[in-house]
Amino acid sequence: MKKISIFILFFSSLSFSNSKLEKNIKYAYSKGLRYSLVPLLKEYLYLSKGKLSSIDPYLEKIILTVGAKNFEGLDSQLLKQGRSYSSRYLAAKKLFAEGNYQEARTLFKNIPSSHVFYSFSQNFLAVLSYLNKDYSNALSLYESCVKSAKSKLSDELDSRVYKQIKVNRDICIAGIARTYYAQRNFKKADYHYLDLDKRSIAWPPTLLEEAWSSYYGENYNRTLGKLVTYKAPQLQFVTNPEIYVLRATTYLRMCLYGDVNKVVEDFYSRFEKAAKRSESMAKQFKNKPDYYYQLVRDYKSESDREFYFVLKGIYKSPNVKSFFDNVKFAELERKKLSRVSNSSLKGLLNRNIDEFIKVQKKVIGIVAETKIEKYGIDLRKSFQTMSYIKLEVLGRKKDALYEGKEYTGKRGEIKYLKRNDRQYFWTFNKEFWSDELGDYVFALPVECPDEK
Amino acid sequence: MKNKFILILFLFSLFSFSQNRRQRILSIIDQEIDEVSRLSRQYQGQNPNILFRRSELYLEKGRLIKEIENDKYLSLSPQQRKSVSKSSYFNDSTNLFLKAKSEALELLRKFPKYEKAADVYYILGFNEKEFGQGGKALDYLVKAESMALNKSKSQVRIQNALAEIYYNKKDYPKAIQYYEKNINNTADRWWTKDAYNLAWSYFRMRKFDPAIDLMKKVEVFSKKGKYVDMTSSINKDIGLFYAESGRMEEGVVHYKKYNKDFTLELIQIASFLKESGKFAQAMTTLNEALRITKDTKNKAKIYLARMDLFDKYEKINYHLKDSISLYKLTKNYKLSKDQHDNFKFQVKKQIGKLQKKIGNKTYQSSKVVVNEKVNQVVKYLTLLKGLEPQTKNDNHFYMAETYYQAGSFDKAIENYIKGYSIAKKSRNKKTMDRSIDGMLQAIAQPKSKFPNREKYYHKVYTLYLSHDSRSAKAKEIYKKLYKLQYDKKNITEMKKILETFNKNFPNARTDSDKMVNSLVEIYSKQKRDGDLAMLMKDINSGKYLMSASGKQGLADVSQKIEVKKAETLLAKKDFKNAKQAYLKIFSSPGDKVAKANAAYNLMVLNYKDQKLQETYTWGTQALSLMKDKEFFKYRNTFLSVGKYLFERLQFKSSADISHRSFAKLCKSQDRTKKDFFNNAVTMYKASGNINKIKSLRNAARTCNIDRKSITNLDKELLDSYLSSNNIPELERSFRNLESNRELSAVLIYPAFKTYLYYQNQRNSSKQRIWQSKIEQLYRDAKSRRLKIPTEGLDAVSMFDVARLRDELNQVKKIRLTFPEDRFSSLLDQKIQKLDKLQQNVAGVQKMGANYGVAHSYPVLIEGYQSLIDEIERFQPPGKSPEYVKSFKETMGQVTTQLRQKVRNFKQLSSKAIKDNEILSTYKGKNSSSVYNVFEDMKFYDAERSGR
Repeated sequence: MKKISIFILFFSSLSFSNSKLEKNIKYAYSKGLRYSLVPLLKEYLYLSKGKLSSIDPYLEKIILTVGAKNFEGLDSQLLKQGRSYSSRYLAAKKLFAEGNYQEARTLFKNIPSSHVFYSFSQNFLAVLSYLNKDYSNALSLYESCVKSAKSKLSDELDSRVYKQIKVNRDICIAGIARTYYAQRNFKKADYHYLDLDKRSIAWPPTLLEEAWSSYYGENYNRTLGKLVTYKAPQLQFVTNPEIYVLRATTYLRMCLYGDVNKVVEDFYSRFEKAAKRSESMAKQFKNKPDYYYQLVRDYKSESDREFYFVLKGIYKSPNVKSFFDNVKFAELERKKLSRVSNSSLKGLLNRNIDEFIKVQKKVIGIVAETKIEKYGIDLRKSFQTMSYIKLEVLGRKKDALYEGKEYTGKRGEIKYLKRNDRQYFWTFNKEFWSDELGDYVFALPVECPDEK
Repeated sequence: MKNKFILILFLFSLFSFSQNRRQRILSIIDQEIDEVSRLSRQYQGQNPNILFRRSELYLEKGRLIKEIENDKYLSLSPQQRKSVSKSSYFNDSTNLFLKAKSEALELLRKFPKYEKAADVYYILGFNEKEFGQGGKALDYLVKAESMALNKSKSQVRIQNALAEIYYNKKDYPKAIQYYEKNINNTADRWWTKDAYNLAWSYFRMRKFDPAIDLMKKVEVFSKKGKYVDMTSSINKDIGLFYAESGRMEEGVVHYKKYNKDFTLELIQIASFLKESGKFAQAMTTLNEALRITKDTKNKAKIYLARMDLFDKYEKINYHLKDSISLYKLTKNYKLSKDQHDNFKFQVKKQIGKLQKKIGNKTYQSSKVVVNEKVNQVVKYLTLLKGLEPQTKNDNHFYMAETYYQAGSFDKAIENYIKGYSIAKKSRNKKTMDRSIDGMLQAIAQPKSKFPNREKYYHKVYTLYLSHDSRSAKAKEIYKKLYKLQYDKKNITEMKKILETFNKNFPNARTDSDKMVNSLVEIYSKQKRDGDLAMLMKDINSGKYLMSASGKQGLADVSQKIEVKKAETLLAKKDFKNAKQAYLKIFSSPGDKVAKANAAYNLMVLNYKDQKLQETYTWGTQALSLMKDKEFFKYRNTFLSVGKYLFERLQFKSSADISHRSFAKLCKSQDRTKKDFFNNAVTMYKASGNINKIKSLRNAARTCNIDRKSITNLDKELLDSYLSSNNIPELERSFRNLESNRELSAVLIYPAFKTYLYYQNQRNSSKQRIWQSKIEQLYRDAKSRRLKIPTEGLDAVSMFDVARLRDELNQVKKIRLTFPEDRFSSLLDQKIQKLDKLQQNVAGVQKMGANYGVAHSYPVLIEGYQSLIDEIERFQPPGKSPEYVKSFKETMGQVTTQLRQKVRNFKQLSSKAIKDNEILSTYKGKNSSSVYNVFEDMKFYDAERSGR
């Protein structure tokens, strides 16, 4: 795992004394500048050894705008020395990333409920409990997170800040469902997945989780319905091979061998080329983030259909998208520099924007490289899984023939549906409306001999 | 055998898929192979599990394909199967097994520590099993077993495979040991198959109770659907288990459960039991089957099976009873061809057996028993008539056979005759043959058994010959019939038989000879010379055939009569008729000794009559026919005849008689031998027949003629060849004589002739050899003081003169030149050489050969004359006239002396020639042969000087 810190620990060439720095931060912030302040804030944090005092409110706002990741390059010891919650939150996040859960938990716990980072820290604490398999605590922490986030969301908030809090809330909602899932309480899991707004950026991956949940609840037609949602144009950027693997597995469980075969063959024919491309790309452009940044940035011009969706998926993934937004907004901020009268400060801030954008692009590039490489590996593994599934089908067919039995049957009848009160039955007509996404349910009979 | 049966059952029951289903499975396996290959690519060939799976799939596919190939192969007719290569029908499966093997081996090579190595070895073992490599299969599987984890699935299947191998190897204790390891694990669908094999293994080990119990369990499991269905095999086999274990009643109860007619199964079991030699159990099973069945078809099968058993038990009464029952069945039920044939076979077999028994001494002592058996035969024959209507006419024959066996030969023959005549009408050759054969055998019985047999001889023999007149047997019958007539002295019948016999057996001359001789014997005894003469005439005309020796024998008989006649005439001094009689003896075929005797007597009789030519002719005839021993007795007669012919100037005839006589005495030590030899040589010389002399020369040493006579003969030959100028023969004769040193002098000239011959042939090496021989002969002759003939000396001197000429040429080669010192020196040399030449000429002269004397002085004269000429012609170069004058004057003195010498030599030459009286001999050309020889020599010298 690459450490972002090596890029973020760049400092502006021109440094100030603490008081001047403080003055300039306040001045620039008052002029509506944000992105050009990130290097100044980091310098200030470094020089003041985390003691932010009057700068703390500015840091809070800027973290919520540009994302905490831009500050995670700072030394965690330095950050946790500070008295401000912002610096402690940054320290906790960093310690969490470093695997120092104990200290991270202590720091997160210190964030008061009134603080804007509270819901975020609740989310982290819930994850820590989840990792400790303390599911009931995890559930209450997730619920606290949702509750706190909801209370913090206000129309007065900057749109980017609002979005950060909202995404965090949605992740906590999903967290509740996931915790139930981990407890193998699939019914409750399914129920809570429905709480998540389908428009949320956190929603598309949960569809797969819902599908798995339904699968384990032996509600295979619902699994298939969830999975078919990924075929909707709005969700085609979700290219997780697991979707196909689960689909094939579900058909296998239903003994619908023809469908299994079709899924396997479709998968191979669709993704073999993409797998090869990912693999060759990983070799050819190793440690070349610029290349990957441009690739993702220009995803619309990608001619290969499958790879287009891959790049689009990366582009739209929450941590990449926010960096692209940073780039966009940082560029826009240049216009605001005219508001700064001091020309040398203006010059410094302009260079800060350059520096900031450069870092964002590198981060995007590195994330994209990692994702594409992982995509190739996932595909390869999925191919293997698919082949195993197909072999399983062939084996079953063969066994049946050896035993003088048949293995084919009818498919698609309503009587095979299993629904709960919050699911609607839609006859699948191969069209997708945004509000229907994720609500499809198949009506296929299980063809296994024991089921008949 | 049973093992094969089990295997086939196994194949048909376990894999009795419809063709369609098998094809579908194969299609799935193909997809699996494709998918596994695709999966392997995902792992870049580095996943041993995948490689293992692919190997397994190839093995599985191979097994199914082999089933299809096996079906195809088994569908061929036996004839087709013989004409095709079996392996070509199993190409596809073989290739797949090889693929499975190569994948497995590749896997082990790449991943030697593969965790599922046991399974890989299982595949390899299974593969080898498929290839019929039981030993290798066992090795692999044993290794697999040693590697498999305890209680693992792999271990189960490996152990079951091992069990199967031992089972197929008929090592049932081991098969049981391995099958039992996993028999309690009933989860596998193949459990039924393995348990079935285990049950059979128990059965083979005579553990009937566990075998039956397990088979029953397999039957239950087979119906569950989950397991391989072995029901049909069990249905067939379980009855056998019951039967073999003596629990047939339970078996019947078991079969009753199936609620169907299980007679067929019982019959099959009985068949198996019978094949295993368990006749009692087989019979019990058949009885049970007969008891329960109502089906005619099955009853027929049971009767046939029981008949077979009764046959084995020798229970003819029961057999006959079942035969009759079965025969009754056939009124309403048609037997299959095989069954019908079997039935006929059974009936015929019983007839045969009964007949044999009837003929057995033990039975024959009891007339009652024999009659009973005869009655049984009659009953069987009645059945046979029904089963084989075409044989109804054979009844007399079969009855005859039965009577024959019963020892009632009169009845037998009467039936044979009747049977024969019926068969003849219906042209049933087979029965005719058998009837006639029966008759012959009957009359061949000893008189004690068949007192009336002679009554039938004529009838039977005549019948036989009318039936068969050309076979080897017929030949014997002819002889027997002829003997019958001979015993009766029935010449007319004998002649008839002889004539027919000759017609049918023209090559059987020995037999014919005997027949003729028996006729001659009768004629001779009865002194019927006229008939005998007629017989001889018929024989010579070819009416009756005889061998050459047979004819000779007859000729000898008549010749003896003639000899007696001639001798009587001689005794009466009736020479004229005696001559005629001997002439007849000589010209008729007969004994050679008698002929030789006749020729000799004819020679003597003609000698007496002074008939030269006839004497000679009969003399040679007698000599050619007489044996040496016989000749020896009369040798002096032949010496007289030779002398007589010589005296009448019949040299050639005399020589021939002497030569032939000499040849007859060749090895004898008798003195007349040399007389005959010398007479022959003399006679041949007189008639100029060199070749005959040469022939005598060749025989002389073999016949031990003394050395001197031989040498004389060789000298004669040498002279003869010399005068006829036959050099190759001359050379041969020379070689015969050359070792004799005493002949050295006389051999010089023949050697010289040979030398000249090779000179003409331009054969220089031979020339050298012969020149050397001549010189050696000369030296030998001289040393032995032998008188050398003139031509011999001439020959030797010819070589001397040639050498003188060589010396002369050497002198001539020296050319006189200035300056003066050199001139003097060269002149001196020349004169010295001429002096030497002069000495040599004197040597030649001394030898006294005409040629030497005549030709040696001219050589010397020529030498001095040429020197005189050279000196006179010489002009000293570059010298003053005074010097020249002075020089010429000095040289004039020298030449004058030389001329004087020349004159002296000429006188000496003339004198020597005169003294030797040889001048006239050499004056004219072609005046003598000797002269010609020297003419040749001259030519020879001319040629040499020309070089």
